[in-house]
Amino acid sequence: MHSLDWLVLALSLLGVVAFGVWKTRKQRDAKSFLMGDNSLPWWTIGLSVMATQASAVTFISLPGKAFQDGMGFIQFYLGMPLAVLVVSAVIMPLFYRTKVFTAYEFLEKRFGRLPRLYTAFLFLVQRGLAAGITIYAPAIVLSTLLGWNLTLTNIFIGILVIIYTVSGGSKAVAQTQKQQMGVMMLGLFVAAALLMVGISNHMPLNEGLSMAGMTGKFNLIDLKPDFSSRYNIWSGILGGFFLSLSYFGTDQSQVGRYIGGKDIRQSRMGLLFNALFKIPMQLLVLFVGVLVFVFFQFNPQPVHYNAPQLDVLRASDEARPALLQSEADYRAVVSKKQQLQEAWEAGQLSDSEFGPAYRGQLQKEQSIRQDVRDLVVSHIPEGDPNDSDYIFLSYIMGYLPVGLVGLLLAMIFSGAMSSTAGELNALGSVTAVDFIQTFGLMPSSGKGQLLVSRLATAAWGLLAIVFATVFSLFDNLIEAVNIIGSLFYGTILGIFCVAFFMRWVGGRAVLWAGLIAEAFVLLVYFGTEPLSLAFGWDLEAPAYLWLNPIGCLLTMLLAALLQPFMPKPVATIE
Amino acid sequence: MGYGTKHRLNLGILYLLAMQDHEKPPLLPSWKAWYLLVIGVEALLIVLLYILTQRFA
Repeated sequence: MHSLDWLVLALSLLGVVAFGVWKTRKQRDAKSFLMGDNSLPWWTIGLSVMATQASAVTFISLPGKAFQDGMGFIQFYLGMPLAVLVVSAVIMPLFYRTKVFTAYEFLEKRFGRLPRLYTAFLFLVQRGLAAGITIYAPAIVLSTLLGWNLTLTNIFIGILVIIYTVSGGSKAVAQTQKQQMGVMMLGLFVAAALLMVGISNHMPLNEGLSMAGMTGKFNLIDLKPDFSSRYNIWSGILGGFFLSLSYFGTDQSQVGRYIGGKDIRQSRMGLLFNALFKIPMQLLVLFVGVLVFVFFQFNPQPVHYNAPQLDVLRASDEARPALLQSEADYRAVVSKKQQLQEAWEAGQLSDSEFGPAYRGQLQKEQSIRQDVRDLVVSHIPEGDPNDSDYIFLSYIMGYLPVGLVGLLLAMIFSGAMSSTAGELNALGSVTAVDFIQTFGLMPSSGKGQLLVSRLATAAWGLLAIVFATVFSLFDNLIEAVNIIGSLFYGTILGIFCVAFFMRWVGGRAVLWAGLIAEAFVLLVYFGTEPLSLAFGWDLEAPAYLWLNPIGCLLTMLLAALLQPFMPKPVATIE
Repeated sequence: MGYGTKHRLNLGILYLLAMQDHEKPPLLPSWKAWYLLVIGVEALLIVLLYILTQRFA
């Protein structure tokens, strides 16, 4: 990497960290550390809410997903604006009225201690794992492509975040997230503009986009109701609604962002800002992936995007002949694609002739790329064959001018830091308030409480680094984060829904309902395949987004069924 | 009036709580107007995405 890129990267990252530490240097007590003195205006809250969601995974994985499967992933976000409205109108006023530090504190006021501790525990498990992935995701890809040491990259990202999160708490997280969102949006627009220019050098942009459309990249809305299809409008609106309701209404990494507002008016506006701008932002990220796809139709692209793995295969006497054959086949397909493009541009092929013929070549290309992935599996046992997370970075490293490589890497690091900071702040808050304070272990002095809150945040930061160093890759990193969330969010949301909407249900019934529902969700996700194999059943696990409504509705149903056999609830919230 | 004393919390409370907010939000006259704006933008977006999908199918 050029020294100018290093300079841009270092200035962007260290500048933001230094700003965060300086701006929030006067921390007085735990309340100021955990809630930022309730001083944040709505635009800071809105950007902070968006930055907490936008991790490095967003910028690494999402373009690769659009490159391979098209933009259908956008349907995942369609339930979010509706969920934000419910949070804004119903859940947020309850948190403000009960003056809670964390979402789970509200549950103790409603149900008693055990349901609060159980729900907070589920949150710590899923958010702790997710924090590991948000550090690991950029680290594995950057270390592979740039030759950096993976463990050191994990530690570097983690330590940077720990410095300002432990120093300045919630306010530092929100202040730095504003700057980080600026870096992210700048990087995104620069990447899109350069890709459009790059495509225009070969064919008019509208023709390039038509070609992407004919190869299925603009599969934005799928109306077919298929329970096992990961992304269609039904799973997006319904499953996404439940997932988002749980995320924004019960996940402390989001609740902590908006209850730090000056008042409920500022917090509400911050969330509505997110409801309006989140989907357009994700559309832009996916669109960049489609532009990379079109760009690579005119520019040399490797048969496998994880270059170091290709080097290993080339060096292997056993794998080399098969790899060379695949590369030769690949060159033949690329040549055929070029002929088809030229014929189409010259008007010798109509759209209806070009589309199927080009798609046929793309399928051959996919098949060859799969052969190479199989080679990776058989010859590099510890290697992950999925290379979609390397596609966008291959473009950045191979085609961007000096200086902009540093900016785009800063965009990815900013994503990693902004989301990790939000998560660590939330994990620290829940540990301090829901566990240490609840068990009477919190010191009485303000300074002591501040120290404990800082130590809890630092401990989760170190644990996230440890998680990050022991992770192995999922299919696609962005799905990994959402799958982990979906395993727990349904039950958590169900417990909160019982708290909000079923006043006749008490703590013991909801606790049992939550335990059984969580066991069922885990069984559905992990047990369907082994059970089908063991008993010869023809079962298919639902797509992971459906786990959210399943967990939520099952918790509510079981709570209603169990309540008649349990003690009546005692009203504790007035 | 506190939570749970007069109102039973059910789905209808969503509407009630939204309507009880007399505080004027920034830019628009009421929170209800903001909520309608979000729903309208979402609906428009889905229609646009559907048209794009059909256009390139």
